[in-house]
Amino acid sequence: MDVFANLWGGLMVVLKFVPVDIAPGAASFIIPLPVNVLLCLMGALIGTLIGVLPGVGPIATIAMLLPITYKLDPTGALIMLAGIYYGAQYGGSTTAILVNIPGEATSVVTTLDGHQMAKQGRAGAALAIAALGSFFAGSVATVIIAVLGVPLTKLALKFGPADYFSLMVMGLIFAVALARGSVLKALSMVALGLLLSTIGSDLESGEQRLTFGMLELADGIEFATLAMGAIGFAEIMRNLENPETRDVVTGKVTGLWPTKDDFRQSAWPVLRGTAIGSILGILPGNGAVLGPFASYTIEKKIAKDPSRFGRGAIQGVAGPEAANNAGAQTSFIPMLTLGIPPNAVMAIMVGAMTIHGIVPGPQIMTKQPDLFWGMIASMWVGNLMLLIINLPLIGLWVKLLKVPYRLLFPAILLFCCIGVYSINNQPFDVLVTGAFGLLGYFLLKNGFEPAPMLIAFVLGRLMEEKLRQAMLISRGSMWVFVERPLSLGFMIIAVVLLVFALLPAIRSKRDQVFTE
Amino acid sequence: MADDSEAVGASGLIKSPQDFVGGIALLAIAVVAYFSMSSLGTMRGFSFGAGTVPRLFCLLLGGLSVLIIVSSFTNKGPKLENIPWRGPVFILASVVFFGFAIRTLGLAITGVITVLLSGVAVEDFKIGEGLIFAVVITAFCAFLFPFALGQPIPLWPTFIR
Repeated sequence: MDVFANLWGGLMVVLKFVPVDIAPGAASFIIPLPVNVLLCLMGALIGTLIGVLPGVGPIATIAMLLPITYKLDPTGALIMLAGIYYGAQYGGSTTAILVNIPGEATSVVTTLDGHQMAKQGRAGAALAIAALGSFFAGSVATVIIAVLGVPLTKLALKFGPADYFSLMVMGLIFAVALARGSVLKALSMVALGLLLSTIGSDLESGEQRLTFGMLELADGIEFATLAMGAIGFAEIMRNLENPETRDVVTGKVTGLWPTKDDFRQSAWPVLRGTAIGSILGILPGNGAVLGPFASYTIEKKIAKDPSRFGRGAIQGVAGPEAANNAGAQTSFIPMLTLGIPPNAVMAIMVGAMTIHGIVPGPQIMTKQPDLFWGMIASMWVGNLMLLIINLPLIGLWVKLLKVPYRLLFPAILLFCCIGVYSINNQPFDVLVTGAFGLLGYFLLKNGFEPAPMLIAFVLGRLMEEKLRQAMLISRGSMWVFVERPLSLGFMIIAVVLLVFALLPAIRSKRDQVFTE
Repeated sequence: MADDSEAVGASGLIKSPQDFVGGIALLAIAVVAYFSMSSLGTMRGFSFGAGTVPRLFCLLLGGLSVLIIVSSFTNKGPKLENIPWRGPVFILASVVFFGFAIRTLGLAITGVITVLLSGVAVEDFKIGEGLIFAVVITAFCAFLFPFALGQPIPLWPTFIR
């Protein structure tokens, strides 16, 4: 089988031993080390360490840790970043279970039953099931990526500019439909993100657009400044408003291993969660965020005794956690094959790849197969690492979670500042981040969700490029977007989705899903 | 008056103050952006100029924000939240300080002051604890970024270097 040959090749890239001089300088001492595995391990460890901090989600974690990958070769850097990503994800679940604070939208569901289990003294079982379920889901999702990678890449190479443009429009509509609150407000956030993406030199004429005479803006805004400002800093300001009510489960986290009964009860939810999460994760426009919600709803519906949910049902942890991890992983598919990041985390990954001189898109697989398959195999290795390092380290995470927020946030702030500064060694970027922090805070305060803005910002430049190409090829005819079958299909889905999102009956149902 | 969770700012003409304020701000951004682009190229035949797409996005943002403003007169929504100034002011001050100081004062001094300044954002700030923590965190960052990771971040102030 080609797929497994490819995966095997990727695994070899990850496991490759590289001679490393471990004592540079006076006495050279060269020994072979499995560098990529170590990078993956380190990434997963540091990712969990930062991701465990309450209020620091994967986006902030990756953005903050981006500088530490600068000196690595592209393959190593991406492998480490993938490790950081899974670590941050798992760290978020740990915080959700132990402290009842979801690090990000996708672990909200885990707080419901996970924290209840922790309160009943079963934090160990909850964390172990979350880790095992995630590992299983991650393993399946890795194979899915490997299987879908080749055909989707072939399909992507047939895409014309118009198809790309319509696909991105569909992705943005997805993001709008999945955002909480008013559809109109989410749409306006998309428009703002698109507008922000046009800042900088025009790609054809080099004219300065919206730079207001500032030379530092000539290359456009760095995505990390927008993400860290509008999400990271804004969240900190918001967290400071509420006096701290942290509910750390301080008791003994003993009895780590789940009982036989736990395993029996979790098996099917994990399988179902994996399937749901994998499918939703592939959708452009942050479908992955829906996975845990969908899984929880389904488990509750088909349970013999639904009243146990919300009071520490292990199914309510196993299913959503599996869905979460499966979605986190399959959301790499649109990015790796089409070059279109489906959510803000993938957007950060695109930014990281660009820094290392890699342009995401269908050409990666053909031109840099080592990198492509190495990264996919490292996803599986990363999941394995998490399983190995996290279960013994639960005690450490509990200790870290007891650090009060008044000490945590200044440290987070300093890390962010250094991280942003290091991207271009540009103090100006730090100031821009501060400005976006203010903007994000204002938007949050008035019920505007910044997530669609981030996705729109990332897609903006590519959308403009494709739109201009498409219009040039069609000699100015707008019909090109409905004449090509692929493009027409995407546009129809987008329109249908938008209509559905705007219909009042479905809106109230959607709100129910989110509040449940 | 019962102040339940469904509290809405239905007083007066504006039914949803948050939407109104947000809409006005977005409209202002769209208008300012639109007029700053007056010198940018326009369509030449069927080829887009530098300003074509940004103008389209401006119109999109402006149109949507007008819709939001209009809907704020008809749809009920939550009241404006009051803004506690202490948090945002000190957070922003510390970030701005970092931006202006890092090149000249270096990480060693900038880091300590940034952590201290942001620490003041909470009401139960304690100077002793804050100072020790600021020094520890800065020392950790100084070890991690310029030293262990080789980032070109200035560590010491220009007058010592």
